[in-house]
Amino acid sequence: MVFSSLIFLYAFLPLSLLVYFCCRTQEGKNKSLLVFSLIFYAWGEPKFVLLLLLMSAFDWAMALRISREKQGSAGAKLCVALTCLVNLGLLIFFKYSSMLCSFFGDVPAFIQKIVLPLGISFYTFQLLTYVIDVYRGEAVAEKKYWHVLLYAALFHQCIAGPIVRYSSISEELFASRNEYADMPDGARRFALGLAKKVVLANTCGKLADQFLLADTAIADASALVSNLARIESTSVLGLWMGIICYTLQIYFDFSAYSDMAIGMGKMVGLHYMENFNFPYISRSVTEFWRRWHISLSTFFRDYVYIPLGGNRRGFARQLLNLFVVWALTGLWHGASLNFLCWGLYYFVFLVIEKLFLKRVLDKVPILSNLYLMIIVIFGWVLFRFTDMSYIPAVFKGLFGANGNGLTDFVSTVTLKSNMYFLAFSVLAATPFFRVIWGKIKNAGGRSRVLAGLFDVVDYAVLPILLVVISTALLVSEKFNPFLYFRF
Amino acid sequence: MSDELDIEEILREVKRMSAGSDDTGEVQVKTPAEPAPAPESQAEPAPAESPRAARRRQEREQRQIKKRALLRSAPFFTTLAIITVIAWLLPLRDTVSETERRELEKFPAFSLSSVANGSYFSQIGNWFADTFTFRESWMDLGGFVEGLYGHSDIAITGSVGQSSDVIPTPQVTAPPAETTAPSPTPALTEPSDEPVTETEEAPVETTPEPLPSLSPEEVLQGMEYSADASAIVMNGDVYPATVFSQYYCDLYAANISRAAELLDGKCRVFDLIPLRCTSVKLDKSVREYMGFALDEDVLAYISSQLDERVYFVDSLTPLAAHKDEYIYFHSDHHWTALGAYYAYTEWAKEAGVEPVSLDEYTEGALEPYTGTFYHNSTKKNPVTVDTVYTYDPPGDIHLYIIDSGTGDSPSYRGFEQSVVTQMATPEKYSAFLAGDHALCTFVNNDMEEESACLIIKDSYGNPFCYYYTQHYKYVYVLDYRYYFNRSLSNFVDTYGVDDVIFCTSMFLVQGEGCNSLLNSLIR
Repeated sequence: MVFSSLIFLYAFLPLSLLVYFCCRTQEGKNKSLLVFSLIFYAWGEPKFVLLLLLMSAFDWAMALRISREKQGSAGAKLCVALTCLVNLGLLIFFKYSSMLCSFFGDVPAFIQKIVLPLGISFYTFQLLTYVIDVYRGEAVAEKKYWHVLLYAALFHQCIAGPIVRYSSISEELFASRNEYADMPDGARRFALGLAKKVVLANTCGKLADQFLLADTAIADASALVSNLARIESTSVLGLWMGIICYTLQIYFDFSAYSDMAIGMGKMVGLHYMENFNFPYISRSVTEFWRRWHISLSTFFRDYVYIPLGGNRRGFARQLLNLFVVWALTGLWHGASLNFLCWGLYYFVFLVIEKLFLKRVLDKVPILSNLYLMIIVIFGWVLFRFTDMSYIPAVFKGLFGANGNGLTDFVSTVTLKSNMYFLAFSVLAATPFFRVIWGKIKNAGGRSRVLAGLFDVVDYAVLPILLVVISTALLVSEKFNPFLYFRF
Repeated sequence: MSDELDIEEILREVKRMSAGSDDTGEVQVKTPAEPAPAPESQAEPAPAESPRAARRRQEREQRQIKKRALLRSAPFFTTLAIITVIAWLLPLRDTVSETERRELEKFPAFSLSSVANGSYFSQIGNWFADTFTFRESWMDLGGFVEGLYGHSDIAITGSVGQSSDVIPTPQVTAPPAETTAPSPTPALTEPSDEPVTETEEAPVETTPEPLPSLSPEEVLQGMEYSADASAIVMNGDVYPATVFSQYYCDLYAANISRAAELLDGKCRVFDLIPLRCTSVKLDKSVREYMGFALDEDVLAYISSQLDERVYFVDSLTPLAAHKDEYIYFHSDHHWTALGAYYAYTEWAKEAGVEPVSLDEYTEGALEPYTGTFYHNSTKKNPVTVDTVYTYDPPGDIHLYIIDSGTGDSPSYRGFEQSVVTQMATPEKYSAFLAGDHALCTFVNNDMEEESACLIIKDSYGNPFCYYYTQHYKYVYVLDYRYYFNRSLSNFVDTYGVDDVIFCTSMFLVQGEGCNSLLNSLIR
């Protein structure tokens, strides 16, 4: 079940909220959250609920064990090492077996049959933060198993993030939380996220697929020749439109999911980490990664980069640490060579920026924005084509080296039929609307009437309009992938 | 325990919120006019306040916060609740979509295996979405929103601009280059080399040799326009994309040539390939710009590959001469009976007979008709609704129909059906031959001479075959997608056929299903 599906919106969500608010105690409410989370997970992956239950049980027991050992003792170290081994071992088994085998020849049939359990990349990391934080003394080991399970399985963020650190949520989750203060913002945030996904991300996705092949087409090795011919015959405008739409789609898609998760959290008084902060307005790759998928980069910073020594052990060691982090970031996005290249591609730019470029970029505002966007857009070409044979043709085509015209019938008509939408989408990927709306509100001054009017727009007109439009589009179309489910 | 909320804690929380420490959200906009400044008053309590009074005040403030939060959340949650209630008014849900002309998803049947692999739940999700209450109105709204995305008189559906093969120039006498089968590799059965048993010229009762029958799925695969067909919507008309596959054109030409060889000396073999409206109604330059395969070149290529005994009927020129008339439906991939008539006149020229004027026929009209392309209609680029004009042929004519699985013979022609069916259902095109059936037979009792023709067709042939009743006593209309009873030579011998006319649309010629079915029929 995805958040932007009708059955989630008009069956699961209302029912879960109804039951939640019918419970009187916080414990009861948490139990209702747990039950609905397990239903939510089982809806997509009936079998792998067991894996989630077992992994949580193992990590719960290990954390308890660690808390009984003296901090820093050999026993504690052994336990935390074992936890990492089991958790990461399972992740590697489910996600990377096939890729690892392919390095050593043919992939055995039983390995090919391995299915990636929904959200395993997310909840494995969440559980790891819990055990490691307990080991570091930054969190208290939870005595109740179902608490750990609730933390790992909570349907708001279990399957597509944000990756929430245990220590940042445990107090609200298990001690006490104020359920009402942020409820209106939660509702509004959810509606915005829903529309961002259904209106913006899905439409951009359709356009991207039209010019850059659908995922299924890219994965279909038997159709390589005809698909490649299609890419090679696409006009320059078509390819640019395709890759720009993909750039927009991937941001809208993933940030919309985070918006909806954060919104649902706020509806019940839980505050999750912000995951995106307008990454496309960045002026350097360094800044981009502070604004893009923040919860993932923070995870790698706190649990890989800094433990490896960060920048404290000389430049050569820092380079190595950065290399490891970016190779892992790339691979986390998928078990395929192109994702590794995509991660290392950013590593190269980050190092160059650290050496000298960042200082230059800081002095040239517009040019640095342009520089960043070009890197990001070309990066998404690497990211999109899991079959790397397409990549040279795409790059050649983007620069008109495939011998096609600048425009053709299909690209011209598609551009004309979507020009207002595309302009709106580009603006929506920046803080433009937020700033304008803020200015309008400020202009209203202290007038109580106007403040009331703005409230009506913020909490009534906007959410109702967005929910209704999203529903209409969801009923009209079936194209509704969540990109980050693959990871 | 946790029922008694810690007021201090809550107030601290509220203070934190209103101080904006939480306002890192990318879409949050700070409300400048924040009413209810509760935390400030808490920070400096009135000096004379007793602890009890303070607690009461705090509780009051807490209630106010809750009330305000609920008030502001109400619009969203109410909307969610109202649509939820509407969505669960199950009797209001449709089971069939008239505009899309398909059955909507059904609630899945329960089975342990489907629950275990998750398909049960995903199908419930599909059912819920596909039959959503008031789906037509929701879709109208969705169409309206999508209409705001841009401004264009032309709409594209599907992936127009797929690469076609380059059409070889037919003048070249060299054998065509070896073409490769598009993937997935079609499983073709080689035509059998067994000599066909010679039977007497006169029609006799023979035992049919049933053809290798295919499962309905195999038969229907790629046999009709899929709803996702690539097309362009312009001025109320839908223009499907045209493609060219040399591999399939070669297969098709080989099939028809084999028929001519097989029936050499027994009957004439005509080949007429109905085109889609795109090739007939749009100028060549426009189609080139759109990246469509040019059907005039495809026709020339196919005819160059055909055995010289085949009478090839040009299906483009006669229709293009009348392209401003109502020869194709706006909302459907078929030609109209008028379009079929012009193709027939070209056949008549080729066959050396005088075509019977349409004035002799009785015209009828069935409306409204929304065809297979009608689902491409949007608020911005609406597709024109059609009328199906029928032409009832003059004379004492009877139509008999046999469906798949029933044996046919000259003594059993099946059940009788009115020549033109007055369709009450939306599927008005079924007025012709009452839809697609394995074998239809027209008998014209006004004809003295015992003549017979066989039309091997897909659905384009349905309005087309009516005109043959004026030239033959028996018109056998065989739908090669449903007929598996006899081989072609057996049929010709059994029924004493004088002329065979292939009428297979260009769309199906370019595919696997048509060619493998023709391959198994023509023997």
